[in-house]
Amino acid sequence: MKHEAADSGITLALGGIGMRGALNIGLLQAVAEANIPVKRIVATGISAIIGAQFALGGDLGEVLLRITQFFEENSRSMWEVEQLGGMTTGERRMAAQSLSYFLRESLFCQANLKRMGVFSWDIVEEKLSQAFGGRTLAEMKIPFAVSAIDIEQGKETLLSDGAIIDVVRAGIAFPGLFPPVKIGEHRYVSSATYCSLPLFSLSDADSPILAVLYPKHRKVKRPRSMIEILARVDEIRENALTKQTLSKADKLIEVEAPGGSTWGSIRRLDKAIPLVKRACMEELSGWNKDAVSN
Amino acid sequence: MHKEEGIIDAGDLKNAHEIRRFATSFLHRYHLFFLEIHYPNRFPPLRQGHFVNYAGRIAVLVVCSRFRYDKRDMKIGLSLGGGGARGYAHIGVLRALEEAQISVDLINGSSIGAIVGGAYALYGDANELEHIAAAQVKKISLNYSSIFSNARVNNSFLRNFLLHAACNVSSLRSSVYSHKRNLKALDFIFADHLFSDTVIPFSAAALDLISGTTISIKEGKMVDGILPSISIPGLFPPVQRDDFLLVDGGVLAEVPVRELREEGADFVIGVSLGPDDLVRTVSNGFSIVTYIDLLKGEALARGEITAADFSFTVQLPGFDMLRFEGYEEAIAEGYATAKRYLPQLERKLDEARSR
Repeated sequence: MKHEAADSGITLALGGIGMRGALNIGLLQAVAEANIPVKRIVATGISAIIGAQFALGGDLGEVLLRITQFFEENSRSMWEVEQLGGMTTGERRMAAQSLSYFLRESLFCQANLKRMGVFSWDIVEEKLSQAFGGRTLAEMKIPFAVSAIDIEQGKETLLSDGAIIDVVRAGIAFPGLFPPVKIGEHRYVSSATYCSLPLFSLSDADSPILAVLYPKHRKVKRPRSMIEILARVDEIRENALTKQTLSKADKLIEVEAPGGSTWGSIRRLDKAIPLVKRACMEELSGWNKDAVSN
Repeated sequence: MHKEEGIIDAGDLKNAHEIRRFATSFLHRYHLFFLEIHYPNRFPPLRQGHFVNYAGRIAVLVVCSRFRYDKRDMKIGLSLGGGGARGYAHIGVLRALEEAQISVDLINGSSIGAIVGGAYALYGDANELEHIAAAQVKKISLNYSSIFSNARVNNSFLRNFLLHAACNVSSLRSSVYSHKRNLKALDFIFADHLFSDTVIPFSAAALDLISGTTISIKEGKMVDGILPSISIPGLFPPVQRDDFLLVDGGVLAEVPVRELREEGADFVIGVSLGPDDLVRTVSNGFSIVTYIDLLKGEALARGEITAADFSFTVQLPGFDMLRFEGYEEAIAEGYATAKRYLPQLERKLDEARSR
């Protein structure tokens, strides 16, 4: 693979929670194979790890292995996440199959009111330091930024300098799942649950912007309990915000996430990624020539 | 020289023309009387007896005739935002608009905006609304004491224990409170009136949880239409209507400007209630989840209100959303803020009219 920092090229906006974020490996493979120059990568969620690896010029297969290994090793603590992902039972209500529900249930109802997150950073620390230990964003071959929410200021910001490990951590710090990350004076959480795609802070200078959306086509069942209602409201707001920002993307590829796309169905990634790659290749073949020449 | 009967000369023709012009302007000015004759259902029947009924209608007509109502004008829409007890500020805004003789042709609102907007659409008089507010606060206790409100102040073991118990129970319920008090309050204001009774066309904005879209309710009983609009998710249970499961329209549209445009408003005035007193410090995971959700709501509200032709925010710093007793302060602040923005608004209106 070769990628060079160039002024001409496209900006990649990578987003998505859980498996959807990891599916972006397929997109990056397609971009690399089609030899499309990339001038900037903006990512959030799991895509922050994948995007950082791509920007460093590293092997994407390696990062996929790390992610799947992580889920295998932590299967016990991920059990609830996987269960909500629909791997164990078909009888669970659809409304419960969201990360938002899981977080609210774990934090609110089980009375973990003192904790900042369900997990501590210890469970990912080792994997992250193996991948990015000690390196800074200045070493990246492609300019890279992570979209995160500054808790103190209450707004979305792009983190584009500092240690890679801190910035990536801010990208995967799903509010409620992990404690916020402190960088300098401010604390950050991931913007992945705020808005699916990190298009907020991108401007015309970044165009053409390429983004991939993995839409959920599921029948919404009537939410019954208070937490189901709040989780549904959360989801509706996220969708509305995503819809608002979509107009910023010059090219939007919509891929029906193959084999279920809920949180925790990470073991199906091996089969899903080639499908995403093929879909992206088809879409990109017509687009890249006009866009890149602009 | 005597004029023969049946022959009209040029001078008479001019007079006839003037008479016709006078007659049309007269009709125009008092056309509401004729409207009442033709559309009696548009006017609210009042509750006590015929005399009061008649007097009430006259009052409504007098108020309405103060407006420069002109059919050729563009339709001015007023969109009122949510914000709990701060919503009384809308009454002050409405009074200021009345005084400036800016007639409102369409009203909508979400949450408290739907209540105040609906009441104004029905009674057509800001003073009347203030009387209702005063009477309501005295008669009906709207004091929603909250176990969550003073979390940081009182962190005792017992409080935590009760909080945990309440949390566990409420995960089985659909909300913290029921609609009992809301219904009482709405019944007090709207009684059995229908949406078709309103003097000004009115719609309430609510969010359908199933489809995830905001809908406008403008038919049927006002109490039934406004109730979904004030069902703050988590706090009050969602309302089932046909295939819809409805909650507060403020979830997606704090000030439902786009919905009012769809109703046919050419010029939309958006009134929001501030400030956003989000607690910027988070102490635990649950507060982070909630905080991000509120940030989303804030971002969406910002997007929505920029769609208005003119908008302003009534700032009520330190005013508790649940402090319904402080209505006088809120009304005064709303009036003062609207007065401040009136010159700008009138300029914008003139610009829009000349277009």
